[in-house]
Amino acid sequence: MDRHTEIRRLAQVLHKPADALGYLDKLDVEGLHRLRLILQNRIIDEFAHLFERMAASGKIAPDSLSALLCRKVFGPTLTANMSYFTPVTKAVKLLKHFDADFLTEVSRHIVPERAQAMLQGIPVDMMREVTRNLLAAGEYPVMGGFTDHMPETKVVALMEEIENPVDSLRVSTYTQNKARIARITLGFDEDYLSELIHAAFSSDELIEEVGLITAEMDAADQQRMARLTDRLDKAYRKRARRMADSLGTTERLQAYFDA
Amino acid sequence: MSKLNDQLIGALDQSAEALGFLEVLGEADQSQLLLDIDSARREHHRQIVASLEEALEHIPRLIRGPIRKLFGV
Repeated sequence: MDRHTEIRRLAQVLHKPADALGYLDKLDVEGLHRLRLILQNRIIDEFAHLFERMAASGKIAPDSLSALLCRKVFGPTLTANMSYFTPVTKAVKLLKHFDADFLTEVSRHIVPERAQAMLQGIPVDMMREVTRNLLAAGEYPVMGGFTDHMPETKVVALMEEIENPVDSLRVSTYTQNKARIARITLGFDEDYLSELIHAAFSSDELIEEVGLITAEMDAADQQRMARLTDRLDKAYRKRARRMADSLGTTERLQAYFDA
Repeated sequence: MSKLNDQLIGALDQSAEALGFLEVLGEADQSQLLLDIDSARREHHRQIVASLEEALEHIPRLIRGPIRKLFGV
């Protein structure tokens, strides 16, 4: 797990900028992760009594009526919170009655760790427009959480909706599963990969991110990334080296730097 | 290692053992964490209450009371 990614995710839960959490420096990444999961569950379960009752009251209603009530009466915040207490099959059926705009709003309030079964059940085609909406709104933290907890085949399909490599990298900055991002990245063609590397070198934060992704690749793929990097600019790898040295990731990127 | 702040234990609703990993934080850092957690919980509370009030606006005034009672709000 990556510490900076975890700090960004925790900052979202606390409604704070990431740089305001310096007082947590003594916590390692596992500690930060545990703290975030405990806090997320605590916040959701605080209103469990309410949402359990609301979800139970919808058990006997037809799906179309329940979905209508969600859209017209409860709104996205309450719908997202009710979903944790609704049987997954029912929740997925309800989601199919939502339009993309409403589903986008619900997605903003969903804690993906608590909604994994639902994320498995939701048809990927429904999520395409939601992905475009979230992207347009710059909701990278939401997308990063979904990338971690959706089935990988769906994530691969949804990545097709992200045309700008900078957006892919921004989503990755909130994704803890860098190995998954690495596998997906290696599925891109060389033109897109080159654009991604070029985009990464537009900011230190993105160099760090592409480094973390590359570190999850095997030696042959790291060497391929190195060749593509050199083709763009020979100075890029020197910059990447300085960054890796300062972050302590040089060893994991040995094949990339040795190529 | 610092002793865990009792209020922090309460705010996270966990046993002291489950939160042992937070003992690496000093007293001041634990207090800051407590402030941030309280603030996040208040924000969530505010969002839920505002959404509930908005939902109730769609329901005839006469039956809002019984609905509030039914859902315990």
